Amino acid sequence: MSTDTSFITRSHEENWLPVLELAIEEVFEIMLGCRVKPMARSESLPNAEFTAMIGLAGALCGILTVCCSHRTAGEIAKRMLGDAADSEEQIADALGEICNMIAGNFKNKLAGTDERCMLSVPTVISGEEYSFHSMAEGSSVETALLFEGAPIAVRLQLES
Amino acid sequence: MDKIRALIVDDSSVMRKIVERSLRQAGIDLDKVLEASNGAEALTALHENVVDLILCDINMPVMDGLEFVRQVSTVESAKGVPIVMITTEGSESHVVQALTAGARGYIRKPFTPDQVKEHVLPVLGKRS
Repeated sequence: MSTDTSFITRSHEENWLPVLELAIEEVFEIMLGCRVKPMARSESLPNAEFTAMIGLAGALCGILTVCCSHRTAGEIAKRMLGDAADSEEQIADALGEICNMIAGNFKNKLAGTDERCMLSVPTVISGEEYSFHSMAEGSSVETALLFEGAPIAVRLQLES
Repeated sequence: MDKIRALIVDDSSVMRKIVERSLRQAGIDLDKVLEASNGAEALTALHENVVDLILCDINMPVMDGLEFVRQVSTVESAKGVPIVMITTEGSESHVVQALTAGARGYIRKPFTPDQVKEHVLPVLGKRS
């Protein structure tokens, strides 16, 4: 599916949130064989024990992050690899690849943007004791979804 | 169909395993699976091994997939081996660049095993 980005009168968040959520849902459904659903605002956000991030440059400039608990990241890796997913390295690799596919799927849905936007290779941080400072201080689009009952937060921080 | 020797090139070891599993699910009888995490490693693997099929990501450190595809023909034993790209890059320009460089198929991530079957089976055993 491709989405027309010419409707510039609305905010990025209003335009892109459903596109981002669709991109996430497709990645989980196709690669993990499970459905995720948007969380109610009253539900708690995840402990960011694992944070995968990927940079975007060009027509879209910013960073996309995927945060979840250690347990949830482990479940994602198991879904992708089966019981062979047993090391921290594999768990980080799996979450990084999910982040990569969400970013790619998102930009591929924005007609005219996919040609002019490049992705970095993913980076994954494990542990909660860090501060996040993005140079992309513009608008942001964020959502939280439930994967097998556990929350996953996805945030797209864009340069103004 | 004869047994296939495949080279899977992706910087994610998880994705390499998923691609291998998808090939098996597609009914491809794999004799040997070589893995490389970037284009440079893949070229080294091709100098040391003969393969029948290459599956390759685009965004990788050291040497990306497009550059790797351009250089495959410099390895005598790899000339004409079918290459199928498997990547998050979905733009027309990436598809055109890959096919112009010598790739024979293009699969966008996320992908299903059926898509792997659909794009890989037609090129198997057909050296260009």
